[in-house]
Amino acid sequence: MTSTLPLAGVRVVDFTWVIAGPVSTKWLAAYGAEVIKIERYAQGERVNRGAMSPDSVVSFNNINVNKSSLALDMRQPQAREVVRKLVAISDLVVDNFSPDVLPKWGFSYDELRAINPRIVSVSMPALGATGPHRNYRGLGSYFQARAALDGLIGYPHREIVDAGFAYADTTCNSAHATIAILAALRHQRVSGQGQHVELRQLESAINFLGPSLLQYTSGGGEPERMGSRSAFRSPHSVYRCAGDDEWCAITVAGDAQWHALCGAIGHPEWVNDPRFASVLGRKSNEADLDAGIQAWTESRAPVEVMETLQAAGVDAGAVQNIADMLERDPQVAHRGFYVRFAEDAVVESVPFKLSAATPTIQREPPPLGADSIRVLRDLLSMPSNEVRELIEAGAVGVAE
Amino acid sequence: MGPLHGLRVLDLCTEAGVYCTKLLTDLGAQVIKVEPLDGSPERRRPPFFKGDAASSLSFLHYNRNELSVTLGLALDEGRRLFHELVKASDILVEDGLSPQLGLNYEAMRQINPSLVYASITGYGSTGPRAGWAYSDLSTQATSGIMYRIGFPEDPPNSMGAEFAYHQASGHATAGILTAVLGRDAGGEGRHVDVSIQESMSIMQYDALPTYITRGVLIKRAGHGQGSSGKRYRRIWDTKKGLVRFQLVSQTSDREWPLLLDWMAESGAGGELRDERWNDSEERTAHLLEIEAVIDPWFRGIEARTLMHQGQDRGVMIMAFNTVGDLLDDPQLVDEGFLCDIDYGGEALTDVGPPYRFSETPAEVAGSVPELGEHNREVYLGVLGLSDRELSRLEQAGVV
Repeated sequence: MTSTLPLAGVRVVDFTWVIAGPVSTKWLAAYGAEVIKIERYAQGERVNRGAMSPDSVVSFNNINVNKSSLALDMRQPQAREVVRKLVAISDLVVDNFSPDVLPKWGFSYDELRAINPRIVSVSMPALGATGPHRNYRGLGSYFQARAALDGLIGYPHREIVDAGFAYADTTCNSAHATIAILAALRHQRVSGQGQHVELRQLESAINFLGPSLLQYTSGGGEPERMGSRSAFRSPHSVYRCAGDDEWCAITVAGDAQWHALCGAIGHPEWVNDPRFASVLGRKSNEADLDAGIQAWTESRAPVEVMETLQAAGVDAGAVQNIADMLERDPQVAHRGFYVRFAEDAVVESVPFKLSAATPTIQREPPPLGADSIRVLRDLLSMPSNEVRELIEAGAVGVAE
Repeated sequence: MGPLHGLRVLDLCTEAGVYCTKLLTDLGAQVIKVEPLDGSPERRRPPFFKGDAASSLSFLHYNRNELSVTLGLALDEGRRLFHELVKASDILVEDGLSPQLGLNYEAMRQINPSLVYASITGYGSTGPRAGWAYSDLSTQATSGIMYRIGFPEDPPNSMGAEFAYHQASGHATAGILTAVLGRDAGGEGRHVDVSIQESMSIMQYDALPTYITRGVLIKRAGHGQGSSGKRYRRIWDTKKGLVRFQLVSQTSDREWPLLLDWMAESGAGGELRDERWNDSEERTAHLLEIEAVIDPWFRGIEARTLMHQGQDRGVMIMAFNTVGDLLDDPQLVDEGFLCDIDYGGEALTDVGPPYRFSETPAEVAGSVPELGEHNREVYLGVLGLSDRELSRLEQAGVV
């Protein structure tokens, strides 16, 4: 089966940890790349695998399935020699360490290139390998704050909302990393040339601002926090529905959708109401408009609101929670987005489906060090006695 | 030349996919925007330059360096010409136009079996909700994100700046490049099918584990709820601006004495020097007391100064930027991240590329194409039509 997957034959030396890096290599592994996860043997399961709580184990498993585990103590020269041999027969090295870590082990890009001129090396430092803040540290949530993304969430009359989690990891930074990896691999395939790609997590995150900076520098001011409203479309909001904390988002683009909405919610007369004839009119009378829409939604369940409006061709989306997604959403179920192995073992599939290629999604990653012996013996052709010596010296870890 | 030099892309996007084709353009692909004769609706998308609805800054941001051709896809002859373009291209990207235009992967594959065809839609191209109307807001709602963002007493909030569209476009680009690598290794073209709902749902790495291990739904908590359910403060006011800083983190044991020494430099924080509090569980149990000492001290210093002083001393703390603050962020300025744009004589600034390639750097400056500016280049240069044929098509209203 593997041979039909598009990335079959791509070998990855994966030093990434925490979230952003592992998410980006999860998709490579799902579509056939051989991703060899280098894990820090000396630090054990807790640091490597988030074994602090059942939640973080599920989270680790979700983003590391289908990778191989090679456990190394990188402080030891023999472990670094193993990496050198692996780099020589791989396509890609990827890491999300601070900028000094790989060079400290002898794996700067120049050193990697000396081992394998075709190698693609992608690193994901916080702020950059150079610059006045190269040594600053942060988590995903810190980059999204500094990137001006966090400041856009909330209502104009209220303080900033804390999204509550490091979304930069699972959005801009992992997606841009995968794109950088694949683009550099494509160039490698076409030209034979390797290269280094530096994905600075702050710079990457800023790219999700869209045209906001152009708007600011042309005199348009700071983008306002809008709740769920839009400066350019109306109605465009989230409306209370029947039940406790139940809501449905409704937006209208263009006259056809507006007329359809008026009909669907029992206000055909609004089509001819001069207050609501244009977007501008609806924006200036938005309080009345929203009250009228909510009078219709608040006696109906969100799914009923959504389905009624969608049947009329109007954009509507129920505010769902994770339980709705997992257990009740027929679309998500149809597409098999959650791969459920057991009550407490669910893994997300890949957010891009390819025809004629079913992504490989496993229940969980191999135990720490489970692939060490196989990698050394089969990929690196090391004799058994050498492998045994490395294990005895503690340079290489194996699963128990 | 970018790493995707040599790939040709047909861009039929108007909203959700515009960031995808921007990414491909900036990586060096030749991206041809196929527009109706009166121009893509994308040319009329806000925000506008100085309020002028004919000058879309959104179009400037997402379409710099693309080529523009006009083509009447409703006409038979227009569709025939389009099929010629499909034959000559590697990739096609669309974001929901297909029903109107009779565009779909199966039809395009008959024309060009090695085509990589990406569709970005609210709910994907299969299933009971395929073809549903969608927007950035409604897909954020159905994806599970909005449910947990906001203050408990407010309605759910959404992410700003068309976040769902950026997210889905990123995933579509990754899918396209995965398919291109497979095709180049000897395979056929593929359909890349992105559901914005699914794409947005992976954003919350914590909701799924919390629910399946403990049956707990993460709810709107305004400020201060970590994914673990522990409440601690993470956004702080300063003398000017906000900072992110948390007393509970993987590295807080190492940082705690550094924080105390830093505060001591200005004679603050003496009351926090308590043996008990060297222990992180003790600190977590008395967070409110500790926060009450740090809070007024932070309020006496500006955000960027706190960031510089703290980071220099090994304390993880980051200043919030507003969009305008990005223009004088020392790291971004020194490292040449921002990009100068000449827009009809006006000097504007845009963001630089999300990554730095050592051998194939991205080009993000440049200008937007006029409507149909590249008709000759594409129809003559790529498809090999003659001048006469092009004039005839123009007169017939096809281009």
